[in-house]
Amino acid sequence: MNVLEVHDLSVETGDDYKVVSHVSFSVAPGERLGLIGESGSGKSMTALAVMGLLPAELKASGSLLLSNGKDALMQIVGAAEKDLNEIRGTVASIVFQEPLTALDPLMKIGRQLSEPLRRWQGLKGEELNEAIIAALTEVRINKPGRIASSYPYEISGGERQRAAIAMALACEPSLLIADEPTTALDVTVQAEVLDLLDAIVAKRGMSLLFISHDLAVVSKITDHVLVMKDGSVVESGSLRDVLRSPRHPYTRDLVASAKELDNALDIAKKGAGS
Amino acid sequence: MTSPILETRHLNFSYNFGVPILNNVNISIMKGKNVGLVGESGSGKSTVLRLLLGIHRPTQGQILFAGEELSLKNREQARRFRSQVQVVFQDPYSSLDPRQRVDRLIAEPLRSLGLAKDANSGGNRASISAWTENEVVEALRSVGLPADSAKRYPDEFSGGQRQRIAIARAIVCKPQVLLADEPVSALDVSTRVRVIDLIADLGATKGLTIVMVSHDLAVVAALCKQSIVLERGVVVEQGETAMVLGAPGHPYTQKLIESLPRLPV
Repeated sequence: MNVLEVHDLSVETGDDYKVVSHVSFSVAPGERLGLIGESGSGKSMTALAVMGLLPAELKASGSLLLSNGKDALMQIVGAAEKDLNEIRGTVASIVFQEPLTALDPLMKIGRQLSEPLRRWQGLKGEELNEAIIAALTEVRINKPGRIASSYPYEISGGERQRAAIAMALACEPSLLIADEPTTALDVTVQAEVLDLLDAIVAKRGMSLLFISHDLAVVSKITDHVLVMKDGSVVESGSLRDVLRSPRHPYTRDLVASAKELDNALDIAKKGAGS
Repeated sequence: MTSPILETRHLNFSYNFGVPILNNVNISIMKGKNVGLVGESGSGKSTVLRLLLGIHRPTQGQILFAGEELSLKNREQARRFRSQVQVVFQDPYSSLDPRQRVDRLIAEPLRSLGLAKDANSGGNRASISAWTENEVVEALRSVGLPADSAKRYPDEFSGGQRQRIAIARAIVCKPQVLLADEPVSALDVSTRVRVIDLIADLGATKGLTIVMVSHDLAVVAALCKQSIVLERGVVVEQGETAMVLGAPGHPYTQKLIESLPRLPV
């Protein structure tokens, strides 16, 4: 059974403008799917729709079925907030681009992380503290004790994103949605966080929906992609095929641009540049 | 030997006697040789650019413009400097005044530098002269925008088009140096490539020397013959981009290059 099944999903504004238009795809247990597109393509709105987190003025239609891989398929479209809260974090979980806005600025990291652990695992006291340290250690934070007792503004961008990942993973979801999780990070930190996501998702056998505008970044984490433009899926397939022989004109443009930048490095290296 | 257009000597900078942001930075910008200032957040790359622009004054050390020390108190020099050294910032949404029409935005350097060749150039909104209008249209054409863009407002343009408007404003007074702070980072990949091509083209055809701050080595590789790598306020490596990329000497540069996400072969 698929962890996520999206069928004919549309997201509309109040005046009938479709920001996502008739999108269908599925994610099997342990599968990783890259969702690629530029600004305004609808990729982030698709992610929010899966979590039932669309802004109030947007309306989803079609079908979004979530499951833990074994049973209990739940229809997200039209679901009540109470039911959505049951599956958020435990079945599907999301990491956003900007960890500074994803974390509560007035709450220490340890306390933020303790909420899902307490709610889901029923931990308290010393056990809870140990679980917090273990969760921060799993996302390769060097001094978990110090980070746990820090506020978000006191730690680096990379540490914040790791903490946000730890929170997303705390209730052992079957599906992790990562929406441009490394775009706000420095390139060296980006490499570390991609490495981390790759390792954790593999270790836990989770499914991953990885959203990005950057083909090179996506290629580090998955080899299967959907390309979106103006709310619609214009192409899907293996990343290798999309890079080698893009079919849709938009994908061709995107791939050519990415290759041009990538090639610039090799050309400059050879000193063959102008 | 020709002297550099811009040069820093033993540049040190800190805000209000706080922690040092830049430590003994020595760089020179030679005419026609584009330079990329590379580094991650907190490396001081944007601070270098702000110092080169004269927005901040060095705590210690000197900035030389055409061989003489830059002092914006010297009004004659300041005017020459401003007409020769222009800037483009990262975010095209915040760098254009939303209440001004594009023609007025682009003509701003001509007005403030007193280059506009008409009597009431600093005057009212309707007083854009035929000469100025011509310069504006010419600048728009250089950045690949139609002449009728002049009468529109910034919110009618996409991010890439706005960045073109910002570039048109920077080149309208025909400067020698264009300082650009992450000029393409806020743009989508396909737009990014087109704006890079535009900047490269302007550099080649207008005799502009580009000094670009970027965290993205691919963008620097596409535009700059010279690269300077900064780490926590210190220049750890500088030289030909080919050398910096091909045979990086400093461990930090090596780490930067290893971390670059590349397309699978």
